[in-house]
Amino acid sequence: MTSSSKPELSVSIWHLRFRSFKADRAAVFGAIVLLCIASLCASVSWIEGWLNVSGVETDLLGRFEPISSEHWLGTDDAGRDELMRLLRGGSISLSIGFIAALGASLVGVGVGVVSGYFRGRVDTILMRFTDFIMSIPSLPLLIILAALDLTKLGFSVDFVRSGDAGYWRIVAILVLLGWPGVARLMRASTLALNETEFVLAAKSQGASHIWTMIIHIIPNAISPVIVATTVAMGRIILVESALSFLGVGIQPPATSWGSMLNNAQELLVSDPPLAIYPGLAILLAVIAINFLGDGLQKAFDPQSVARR
Amino acid sequence: MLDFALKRFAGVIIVLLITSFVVFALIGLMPGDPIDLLMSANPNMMPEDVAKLKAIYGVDQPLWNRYTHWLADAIRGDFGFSRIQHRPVIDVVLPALANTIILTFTAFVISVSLALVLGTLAAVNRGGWVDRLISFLTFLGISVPGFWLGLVFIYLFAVKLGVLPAGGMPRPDQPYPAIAYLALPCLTLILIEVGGLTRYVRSAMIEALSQDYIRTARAKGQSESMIVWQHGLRNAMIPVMTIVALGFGHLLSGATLIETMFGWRGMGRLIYEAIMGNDYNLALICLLFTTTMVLLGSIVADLSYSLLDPRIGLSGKQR
Amino acid sequence: MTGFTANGEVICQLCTEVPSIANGRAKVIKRDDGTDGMEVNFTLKDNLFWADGEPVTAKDVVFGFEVEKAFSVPPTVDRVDAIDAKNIKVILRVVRYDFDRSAPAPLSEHIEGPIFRAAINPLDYGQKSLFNRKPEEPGLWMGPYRIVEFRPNESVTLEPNIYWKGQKPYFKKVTFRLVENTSALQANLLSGAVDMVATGNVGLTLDQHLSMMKTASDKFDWEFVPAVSSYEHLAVQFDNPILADRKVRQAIQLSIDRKTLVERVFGNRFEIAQSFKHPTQFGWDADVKKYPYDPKAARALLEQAGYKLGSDKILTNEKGERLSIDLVSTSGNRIRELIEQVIQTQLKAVGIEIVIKNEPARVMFGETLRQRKFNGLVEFQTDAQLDTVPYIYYHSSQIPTEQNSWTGLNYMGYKNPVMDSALMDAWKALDSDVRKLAWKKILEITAEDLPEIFLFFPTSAVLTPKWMTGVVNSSRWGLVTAWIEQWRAK
Repeated sequence: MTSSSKPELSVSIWHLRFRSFKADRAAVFGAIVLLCIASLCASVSWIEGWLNVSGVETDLLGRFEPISSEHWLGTDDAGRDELMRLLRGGSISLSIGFIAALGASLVGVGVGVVSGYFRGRVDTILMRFTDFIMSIPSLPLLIILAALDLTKLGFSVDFVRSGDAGYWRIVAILVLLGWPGVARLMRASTLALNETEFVLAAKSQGASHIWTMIIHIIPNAISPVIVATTVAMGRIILVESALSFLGVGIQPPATSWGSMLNNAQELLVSDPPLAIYPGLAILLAVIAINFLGDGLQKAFDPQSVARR
Repeated sequence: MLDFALKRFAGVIIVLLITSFVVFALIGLMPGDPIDLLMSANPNMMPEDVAKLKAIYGVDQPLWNRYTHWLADAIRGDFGFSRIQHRPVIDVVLPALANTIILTFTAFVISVSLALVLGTLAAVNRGGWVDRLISFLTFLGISVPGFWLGLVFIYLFAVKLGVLPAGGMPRPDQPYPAIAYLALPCLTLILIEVGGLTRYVRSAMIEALSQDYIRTARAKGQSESMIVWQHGLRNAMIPVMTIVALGFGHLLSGATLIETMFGWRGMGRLIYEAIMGNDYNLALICLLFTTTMVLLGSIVADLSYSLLDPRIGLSGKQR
Repeated sequence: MTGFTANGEVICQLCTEVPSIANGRAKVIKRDDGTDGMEVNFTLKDNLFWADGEPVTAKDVVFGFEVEKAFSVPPTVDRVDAIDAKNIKVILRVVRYDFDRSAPAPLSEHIEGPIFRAAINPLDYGQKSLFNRKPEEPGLWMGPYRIVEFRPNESVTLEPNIYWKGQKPYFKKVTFRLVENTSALQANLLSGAVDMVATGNVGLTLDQHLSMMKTASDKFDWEFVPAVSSYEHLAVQFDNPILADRKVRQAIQLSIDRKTLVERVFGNRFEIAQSFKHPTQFGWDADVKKYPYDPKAARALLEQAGYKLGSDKILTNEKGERLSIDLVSTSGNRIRELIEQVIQTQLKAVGIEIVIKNEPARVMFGETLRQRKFNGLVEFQTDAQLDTVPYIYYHSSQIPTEQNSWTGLNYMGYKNPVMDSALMDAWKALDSDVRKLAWKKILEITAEDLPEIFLFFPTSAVLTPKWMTGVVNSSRWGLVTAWIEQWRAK
């Protein structure tokens, strides 16, 4: 190939984006912090073995212990190591955030591109549906969905009570309420792209709808979605903590940062640090995600770069 | 204009009908029905009593029958009885609504005012240390879990310092003045909201200040503050008003967490209690009410958008 | 009508004399259909008045029974008749030892009567009743206090009933408030916004009491009242073949270190329960079989039952089934979740795997327990009346099934004919010596069979401000408000 504009252009756009991202120190900081937290959480079993503490086994003789060389953040009301507990809670909270954000984006991208591409009645119906979901107050709806009795829908009792069902139920309802936002974004980008030359060219060459959507539209419309997904992850972590805090999210013995705070509510007077740590963890993770998302936004949207 | 308003209101009614059915069905899927709960309180109940009570409460009817029954009553203005409070739903909802309005309105007014000031300062100082400080604070604001902030405040002000009550509603026989009960929940709400609002104002102001008419005003020699506050802010108000109108609609339910934490007896807490207490009637009415608020909020947003910006027609087309 | 002393003896609250066979107020009679029943006569005290000045009469007691019947027919009381203004005759359809507490509570007939009779059905009455519509109506109340202000879900305020002829209450106003969460409650206590908290671990948990005792003993006094009619336990699913084996149940009981739990988690205040009956109560047999903490004995029992330690440290039987049991309890109850996790750890040391599955209280009580949808153990607290024969808990006819609309509290599905007849014997024994023997038998069978794994009696912490007294009455059983006229400043 000769050095024509197209391949080099697509490489250098990503180059540009990466350079812009690198320049945003807050974003880089956010990315590093997030990776650190995630890897610590993922390796909690290994760390427990190395430090010889446990975030799962109870120890009645060691309740409410203060910070020590053995327990770096002390122990909780069951004698479990608080730091390990935070890491375990973190893996649940972070994984829910990631999976639900990804899931919401996948659904949202699908609905948005179909809506924007076909326009007309398909668009109207899908957008009415999207608006409908967005207009119901989210927290009460989430509480109802989280507290539903799945056995009434026909699921077996054993499945419903298993820890896995609780986890996936939270992910499912967060995806259910999260996709409309992404769909709207995707639709807007798709509408704009419909009129561009290469899409029209593809259509005139007889490309099928699906092909056009997947190969041409989605990759070019994806930037606002990438940013939105990252930001959504932070939002989802906050919502999951709120649900667990209210007692309808993750149930013991599984733990998430939000359910640790629910537990610590009663201990506010007896052992305040137990109520402080999980909140700080949430704050740290979400602010890192938001810095990261902000950096991505600057990298992907040249116009916003000019305006900053 | 009238045509637009009518079409939108018709849309609101349709959404409310669909929402009411969906929520009615969902609440029916909640564990336990009123009879189960009665029975767990009375161990001596016999099977015949159970059958009799089931018939009275109408629990054994199919979903559609129960829903249309409820709908017929609701249209006539009979919103039913709250099961947990043993009073008509209206008597329960109205005081709660008043309490929520007091809390959220106060918090909202203060947040919006603060956001306007901080956002403008940041926009004007773009890139400078004031901007960076404000931006960092807004990042904190949108990243902090609100209920945790509430916990921290309760610990600081109520437990450790003892200067404010830990929650509850104002009462005559208490050592604190009425406003003390509003302080912590309001403060928490403000801190949660002001971050996002400030960021929005900031970017709207930056957008407005980069417009041509600003450069013209500067060229004409107008003072900087005149430019910022008169021209810039007035034009930034358009997108800000939209956000305010949309935000107000969601405000009513957004305070759910804060109200529950601080024992502020408002709509948010009422919804939570109604759902957890299987109080069908109450939960349904509260949810429909808040949905209506959200929908009205978006109608107001659209209307104000078109009114404030003469270039935009109601259907979104440029004139 | 009647109450209890702390030891479970019946005393009169509204009546003049506790009916007994000896004083002639109670006798066995032949009913119309030939079966044996009883006739019990109660006489109301002279000095009882509703707070609007009307006297409390037998009519009110009869009305109380009428209302009770409309919701659910009482199992033993057939009829309640007013002989005159103060005398009531209760006809029972069975011969039972607890005839002396069979009188229904009086309801204000002159206020609620017309409303009840005009209502279409019980639900309608509930909606129209002044108890719901206007609790401040004086004529509804006849104790030392009456309700003057009622804010639903928020607070109740009481003021003295001027027509009360008993001991004059000390306080001019008593307010009960509902506070959102226990941290707020503690903050309110420390700041003086509230004076006392509810007892029975409903207000603050024992944990919180114990921690406050370390820091706030200059402001408050604490007294600990034994829980003589409530006990925390694990209900066992008898349909589960693993748990149907008595050796397994006994092994589980032996593997839980209740002593350390009580010491470490409950500040040594809770009492270990060897059975459902508290040792201070009538019928207790000190020789009943007790289970100490003995994991070695537990392992031996399990090996006898055919279990061997598998490669994953969990016991397995010859069929290859692992000894894995579900444990369900109420979510959102921190102490219970703590106990569950401790039990999990302790049982794992013996080779039993516990899988914790919690759910909200209303699901657990409303569905899981009632419809017996659990497959292993369920942890909860049973609150019974004093001196109650555990018929509804242990008799084989009380197993909830679809056919009987899930009524009955024998969630375990426990079927033991020997226990059944011992229960019936205790019920019918009018003579206290005969009854004592029957109790001995019941306790023996319970200790051997272990239809429930017993944990402890949840001692109740009573917190009072230093300037107050009269709240704890160690001679009586009941909520502290039952003798509210005795509360006073020192």
